Amino acid sequence: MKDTDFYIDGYSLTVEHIIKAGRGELGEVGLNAEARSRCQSSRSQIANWLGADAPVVYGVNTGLGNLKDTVLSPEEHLAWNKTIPYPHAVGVGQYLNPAITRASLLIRANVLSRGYSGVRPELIDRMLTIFNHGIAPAIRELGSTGLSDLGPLAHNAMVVSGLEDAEVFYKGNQLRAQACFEALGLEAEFPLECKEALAQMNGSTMTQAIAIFACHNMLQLLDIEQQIEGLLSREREIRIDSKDQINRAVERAFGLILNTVNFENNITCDNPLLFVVEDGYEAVMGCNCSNTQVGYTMDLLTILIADKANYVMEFINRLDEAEGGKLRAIREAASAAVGLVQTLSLPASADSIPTKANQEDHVEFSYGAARKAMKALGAYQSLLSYLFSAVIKIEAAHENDSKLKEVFPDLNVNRTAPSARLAAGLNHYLGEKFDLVPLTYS
Amino acid sequence: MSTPLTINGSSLKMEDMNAVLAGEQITVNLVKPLHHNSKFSFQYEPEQSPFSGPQESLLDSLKDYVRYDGELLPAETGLLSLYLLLNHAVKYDDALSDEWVDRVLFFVNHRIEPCLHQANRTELSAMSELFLILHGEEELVCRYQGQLITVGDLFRETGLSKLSCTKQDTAFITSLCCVSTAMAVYTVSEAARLTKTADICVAMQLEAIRGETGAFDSRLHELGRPYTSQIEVADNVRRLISGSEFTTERGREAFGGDNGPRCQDAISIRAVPQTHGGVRDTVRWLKEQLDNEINAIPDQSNPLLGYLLDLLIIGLIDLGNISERRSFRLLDSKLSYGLPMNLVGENPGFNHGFPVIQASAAGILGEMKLLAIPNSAFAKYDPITKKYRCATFASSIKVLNAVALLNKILGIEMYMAAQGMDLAKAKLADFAFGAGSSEALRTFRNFVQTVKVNRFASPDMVAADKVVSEGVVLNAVENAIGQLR
Repeated sequence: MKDTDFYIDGYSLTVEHIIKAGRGELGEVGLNAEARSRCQSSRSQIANWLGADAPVVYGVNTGLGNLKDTVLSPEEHLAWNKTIPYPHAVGVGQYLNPAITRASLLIRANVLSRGYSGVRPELIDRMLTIFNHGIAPAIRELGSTGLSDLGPLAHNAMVVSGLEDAEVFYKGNQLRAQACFEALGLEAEFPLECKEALAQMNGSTMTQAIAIFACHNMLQLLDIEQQIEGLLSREREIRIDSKDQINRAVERAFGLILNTVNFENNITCDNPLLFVVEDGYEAVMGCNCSNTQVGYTMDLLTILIADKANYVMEFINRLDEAEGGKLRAIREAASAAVGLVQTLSLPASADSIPTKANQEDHVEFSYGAARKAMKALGAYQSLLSYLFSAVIKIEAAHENDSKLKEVFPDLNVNRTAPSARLAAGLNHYLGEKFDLVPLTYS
Repeated sequence: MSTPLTINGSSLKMEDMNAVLAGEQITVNLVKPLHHNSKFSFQYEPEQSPFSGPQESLLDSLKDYVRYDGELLPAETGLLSLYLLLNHAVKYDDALSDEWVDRVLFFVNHRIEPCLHQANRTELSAMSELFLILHGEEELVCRYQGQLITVGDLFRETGLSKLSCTKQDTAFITSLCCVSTAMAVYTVSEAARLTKTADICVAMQLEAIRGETGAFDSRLHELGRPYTSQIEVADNVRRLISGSEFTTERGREAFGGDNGPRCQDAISIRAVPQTHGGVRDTVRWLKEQLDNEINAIPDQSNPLLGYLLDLLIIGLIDLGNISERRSFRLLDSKLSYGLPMNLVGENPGFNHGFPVIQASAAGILGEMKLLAIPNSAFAKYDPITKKYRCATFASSIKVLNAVALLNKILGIEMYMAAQGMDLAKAKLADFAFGAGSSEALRTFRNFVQTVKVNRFASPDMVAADKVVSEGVVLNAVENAIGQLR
């Protein structure tokens, strides 16, 4: 599989690419030649700004955030890069799923390859090398607002530059990044040059990575639901009111979400950005780290899941009715899953709390919106596993499993097990078979 | 009088709907589509309709669903509903009897706007009320020639007589979701006014705090993160402050509120293209779907509009979030780069300024956030009828509330930013404001004066609310510098 090469250029990365690249289905990922020369060109400008009489350029020869007024020399800046990710690397709770953190390296490499961030192509190569080796930064799940995922992305910067305290997941093991790199014959350390810490940390790339997997999981779950419903024999088919309206509405609304997430893969989200002017480049400050639309669409995704859950619950209720109340235990658990999705529908994006001494006085909470969508998808997966177990039980009771064997030939569960256990087994089966990615590491 | 609007079931445009909203009298030329579906012509299915009793008690059955009390929905939405009803009816043979089609045509061609009651909180109730108005239920209300009028008086004035209702007509009309679709169309127009107004507030704010304009540089948006909506907002703000001397390095130096270069303003200022842009996208997504939905009114329910209305409400709340934070910055001399504490005009200590006015924006915002819970996530199936209870109608009512609250929050920001502009100008009398922001200030001052001494706050706030909700400043600014995007 490794002989197919896939190149990123900052303009064409899709959800599908990221999922496939993560599975190794696209082979080694590399930097497109044109993108490389764009990066080289803008990087050459940074060198000019490190001279003695250069103007003050935020993040190149100054501190960050509220310390933006502190001027740093190039030498100080290099030393500073070795520590500045640390106080930014906040995080508590469980570890994020390594599939997600690893994907964030690819997404970020793509963002940087647009050439507006002024980093060396070598930095992008380094990120891709780590990605290609299947190494994932170890990052705890809580601590980001989504207005820049500074905490998670500082962890990424620690790993990329091989800082001593950086940790990674590799083949299911958690270990020090430096040890992992050495074991694989990679450079243990990769000193970051001026602007390269900021260019990695500023922006909402971890939210984006979570959103990618939320889209992936949603696509799979929509498919799973169809497949499970199709297992019912014709004589036991159930017609639910407004099914077509709901499916059409969800499909169209999800189309908006997918478009947005794909668009956001190919934007520049750090600060300042370098733009070509007559005699070189100009650095311009903005706030492209705000990924407003992603937060909104992740909130929308949870709403869609809630309405789908509502529909699936009705389906289970109707099955139970038709079977004379034999599915009560399944209904009990299913309705709890629906309740969970409903509570998760409270939008994260409608809130904002000022942070950082009022400098960051509006935050998106897009990170929370994306996390919440993943949790809702997990609950919906669980709900579908109850629907699945209901259908299996019914068809088994009628001694009919031809469709089941046809659609899920590899399914190996004890169909006479208690409902809850059957559902747990099916939940696991669906997760594996359809590559459903959970939010956190387990 | 514009050219007649052809309604054939498939070519209605959002521009037509907006023209109706803008008050244009648009007569309708009804054209049956060439390939209309007689095969699928609407069939009255008694078991599907709640109105399955005997013919003579139909009216009573309808009235069971309709409240006649309380607040009215915007009259335009009743009128839009009628255009949508015609656009749907024309697709089916015999769905609606000729006399009913003629009645709807009479209403739209005479711009008679049915005023529906907000208390009718389901599509079925609202469509039933619409039906009763068309029929001639005397106590119900319309707007005609700018005045509210009872249907009884209206019919006497225009010579209309009561229509008889058949089961077929009743079932057809009450099965559609024209009202929530009309409300969604209305919402798109209101939200467009609000997003533009918010851009104006930002321009005024930039003048007051002598803001750094780099964050609105077109390259950041066109090259960096090229969402159309984001590009539009940055463009609006640049046009509004075009020619401003306050928002320059020279202005900042002359005012003396900064220690060294500003580098960048706080997020509530510099993330405006991104955040306002995101809000605009929630509006655009709804609008784009409506382009299709107004020609495809589905029977019974349209969950898609509900999802997008719920999302739009989230966007409007976020616009409230960022506006409230900008107002907050004006209170503190450090955050406003040297404006007087609490924007006090003169004699601080004796005069109190704006802290409580600003706090009220926070209070209103808190109220607004309560609207964020998405109705669509709580749609359910009726345990008895097994019918899907779509939440779209509830969301379409709720969004009106969100719009009303956001008017007030933006009104407060405009009120405070105008005060900030006057105070900045007092210090730098020779400096000029931008083309749009100066017009905004000039117009706003026709309604609310600069606050110099303690005075009753509420009337000013009410006036500011009105200036925003009626688009007074927006219209003046657009007259001065051209349409905002």
